Amino acid sequence: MTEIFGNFSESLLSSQEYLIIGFSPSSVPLKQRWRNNGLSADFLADYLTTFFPGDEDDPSTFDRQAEIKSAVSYIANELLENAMKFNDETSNYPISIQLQLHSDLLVFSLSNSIPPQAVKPFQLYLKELTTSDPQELYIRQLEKNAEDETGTSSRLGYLTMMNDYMAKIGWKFDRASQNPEVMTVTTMVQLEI
Amino acid sequence: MNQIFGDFIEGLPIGPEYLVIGFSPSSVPLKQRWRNNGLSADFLGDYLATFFPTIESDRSTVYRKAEIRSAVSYIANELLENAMKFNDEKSDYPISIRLQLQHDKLVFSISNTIPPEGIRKFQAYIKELITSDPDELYIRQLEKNATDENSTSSGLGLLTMINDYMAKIGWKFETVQENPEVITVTTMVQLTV
Repeated sequence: MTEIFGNFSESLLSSQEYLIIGFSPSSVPLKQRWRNNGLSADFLADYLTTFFPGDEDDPSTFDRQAEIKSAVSYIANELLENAMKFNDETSNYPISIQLQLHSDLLVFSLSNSIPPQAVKPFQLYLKELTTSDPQELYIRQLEKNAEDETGTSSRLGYLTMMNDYMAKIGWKFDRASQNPEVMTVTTMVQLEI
Repeated sequence: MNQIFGDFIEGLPIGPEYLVIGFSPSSVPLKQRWRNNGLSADFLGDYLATFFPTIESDRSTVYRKAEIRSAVSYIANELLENAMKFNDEKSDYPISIRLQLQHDKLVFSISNTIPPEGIRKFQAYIKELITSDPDELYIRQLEKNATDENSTSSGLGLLTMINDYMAKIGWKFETVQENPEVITVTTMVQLTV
């Protein structure tokens, strides 16, 4: 079973400039894991800025550098947080994040397991996300969050990537094993640079 | 060509905890590339240190964590520097460094191209390195460096890993492309943790 939602292209996963971090969500205490997620997001952002050198004669290049840095750090952080939140805790399937640099595109791809019973509600949400106007959906989600005091998920991460960073997002669902059933989802975020 | 020297594990199983960074040596100016190598080495050290939590009542855990951080950062830096130095500039084959955490050891492997005419000299050096007493070789190398004013390579990096960090090192030479011929060397460093 492979199902795709949104903008997902396998061919974007092979460039000469890439970083991949794989980890087992349960191998270190959660607090340390969050620390490493933060480290990783900042490192990815810092690393990437090297490819967008600032030119002292052109101040706009520094704005661009700062913009890319904050976009990469924000997106990587969101993706890692989502992966940790929605990961299937009964599975020890590793989480992996990769960042690929193309000439005009940055491609993030994050893969994690998902509890089989959570697939359908998540896909319903994705259908809404990929067919609605993201600005409208953002407002609706804000209102919903304000009313729902017990909500643990803001559901604003993807919308922020789309609205504020003009990112294109896609999802691929795969069955990694049958018995026990392990479902994985790979989230791909494309950022024009 | 497919030749192995020293301690090299082929087909090392990919564990869930790993980091891979791939880059094209010529895609950004050298100065920026060095910046990223330094960033990468420090990040790897910091990231790995997380897996060795400290216990406040036990000073030895604090030392151990600091030791691992500095060992990882030192080794990654040396390997990246070597890869940049010995890489075949005529080829745009990417350099990649991989760090894997296993339960009792850390395994670094870095792969880069090497100019075909540089192989014999490098292999002769490797043979000397794996058959000599590393402490003695270290002293000999120091003396040699002192008398050779034109030398651009200290030849001490690998010896320091062996002497100071008790690392095991291996090399694999492979022909990855014919016509024009492209040969890569993968250097593997195992560190007991």
